[in-house]
Amino acid sequence: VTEDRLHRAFHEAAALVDVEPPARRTPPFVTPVEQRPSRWLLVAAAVVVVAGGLGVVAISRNGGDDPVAVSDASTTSAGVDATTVPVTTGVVDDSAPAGPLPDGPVPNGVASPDLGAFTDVDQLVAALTDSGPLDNLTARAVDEGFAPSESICAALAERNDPAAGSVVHQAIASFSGEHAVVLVAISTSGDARVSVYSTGTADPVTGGCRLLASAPITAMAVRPVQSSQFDVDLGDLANVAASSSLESLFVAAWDDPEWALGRDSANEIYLAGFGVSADGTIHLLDGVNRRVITVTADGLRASRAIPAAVPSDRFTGIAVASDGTEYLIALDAVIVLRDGELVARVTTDQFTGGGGNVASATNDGLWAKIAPGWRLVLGADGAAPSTPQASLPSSDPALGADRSVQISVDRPSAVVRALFPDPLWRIFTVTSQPKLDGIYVSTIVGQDVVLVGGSVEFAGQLVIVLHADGSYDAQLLDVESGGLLESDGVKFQLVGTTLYIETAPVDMGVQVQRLDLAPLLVEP
Amino acid sequence: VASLLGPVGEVVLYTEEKFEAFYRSDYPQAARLAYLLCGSQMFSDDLVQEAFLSIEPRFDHITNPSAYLRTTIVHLSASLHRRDRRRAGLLPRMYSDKSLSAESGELFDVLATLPHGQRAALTLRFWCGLNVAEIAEVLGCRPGTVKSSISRGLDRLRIELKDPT
Repeated sequence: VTEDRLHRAFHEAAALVDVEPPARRTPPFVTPVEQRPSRWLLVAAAVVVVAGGLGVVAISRNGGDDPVAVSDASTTSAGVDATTVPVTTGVVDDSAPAGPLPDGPVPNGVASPDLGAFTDVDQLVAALTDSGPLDNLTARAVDEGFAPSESICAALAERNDPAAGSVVHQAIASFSGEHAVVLVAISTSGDARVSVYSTGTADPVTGGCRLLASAPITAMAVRPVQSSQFDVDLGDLANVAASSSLESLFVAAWDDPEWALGRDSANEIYLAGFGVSADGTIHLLDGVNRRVITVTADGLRASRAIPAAVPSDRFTGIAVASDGTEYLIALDAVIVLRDGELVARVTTDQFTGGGGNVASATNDGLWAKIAPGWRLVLGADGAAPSTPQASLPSSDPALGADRSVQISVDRPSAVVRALFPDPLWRIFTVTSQPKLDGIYVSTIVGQDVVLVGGSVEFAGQLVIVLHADGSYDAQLLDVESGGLLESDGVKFQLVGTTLYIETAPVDMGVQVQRLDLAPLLVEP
Repeated sequence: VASLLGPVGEVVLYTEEKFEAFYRSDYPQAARLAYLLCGSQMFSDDLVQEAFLSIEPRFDHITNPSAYLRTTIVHLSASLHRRDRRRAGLLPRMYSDKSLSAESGELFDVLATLPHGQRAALTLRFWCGLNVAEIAEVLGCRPGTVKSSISRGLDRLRIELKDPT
């Protein structure tokens, strides 16, 4: 009833708002821009003319083995992000004649010899492993809500290349010194399809889709993959048996002088986060008091002040590597501490949502959750990683969720896809009342898929283990989420086969619990 | 420009023109969201302009300007909320400058008393239709926080409005 009233009230109020855009306010102290064709316009016009002359080639495997030309693709636009891709090729023709493009399809041209390597599907797929599993399931998964974040380039390509179908993923690839934009799409025939677009200018790209690419060079279907599918019915979540193995490690009361945990109720700042290293040491970030409290597996407690050299950052989270290196996440910076010593402070805006679900650490460095998976964004020494685009090669429980497990909750049932090394996708369609829609941990452990989370309509949290034969084990975690602070929630971290849970009920303090998942796993 | 570039004209508009087009297309939704979050047309008009102003310098670098705008508006409304919280008596009068029905007026009276995080989460969920993960991204918090915010906000509304659950 309340939800219905909210819907009605919002729509009623929104309908009363004057939505006619007034004259846009202009920023102060800005020199008026000279009204002349921009460099980008000249580049674009030149590329359009060149593309009109050369044409493009689109090749697809229409279910058969032999490549066949399926269409003349329209002139297509794509761009790259200069922050990740230096563009070193292309010619700007300032003398290109102006005028409208000719009507009709653009004639076929010759595929760029520089990108010839792309004509082999296997080679292409192998070369693009950084962008995630490329297969029919990945492309089709967009229907189930797995779509990576939309990109301007993809949207433009969809508009300008009808043959591409619905673009679901964009990747940047580099071969033999050349660069290209690779788009993964669901073709109009329903098959996954990869299109390759060369970049087309020597100028650096400033982001978005400002530069046109003389593309697509080629397009091809991607081979299907093996999968096994299971239906899992959890039933009424309220009937799931509570775990009897949940072990409380400690409770740090807000007013306990031995802990002296800081909280700033006025600004809703409480414990900034927690992390666990491989030896079971728990690291609590007390942002209010600028210190890290560690509690070893033996219960020994220590407190270390954050070095004075670190500016008074507003901390939002902490990620701890297996070796104990701490990455303190602030609003606009990451502070790397090893044994309490400051290794580096790096200004970054990679993390906008705190440390728990958007950042995690391994001994290689700090990872950020950037679509379509996790990306290494900071080395363990605080320096930029040598391979900034690297993604995890395989499942890593330390990161909680990775590209080997995909969760979709946008349909009536939650869909879990897990990629095992076979390679074989296991697809679990999980139904429950209410539906699962908040999964905080999803990872592969041995031959099992471990999920931790619940539903917005259900107060409890669950741990669910999906087995290779389609069976499952589920336990209700006795953690109080109804009384959580508004600015804090249940936090989970999986270390090996041990699940750590941190809660911060308003009237209690910080509690950390532990659950050994080994009894639930087929192969711990 | 459009006739010169034909089918790809949209790609290479001047930045200024692109931004103006973005402003005109996204203003209505932005205005509605801002109003629902801050409850005053006077404040929301100002907030929307401030949001567009803050986006313009980095417009070329933003992959999804509409989502960025939405997040900016939510964050600006949070700042407004913090400022106005210090002015006793202002918040209960929010939403009073519109001719709402008695039922909606009653609901907005309660909504105005909620902490900003709860109000924003409810607005993003029930007006924008975002899911928990998307709301978490906008609010810059964990999904668990969003869940508890929605849950507690709805509980408060149910109690104050005496709605059956």
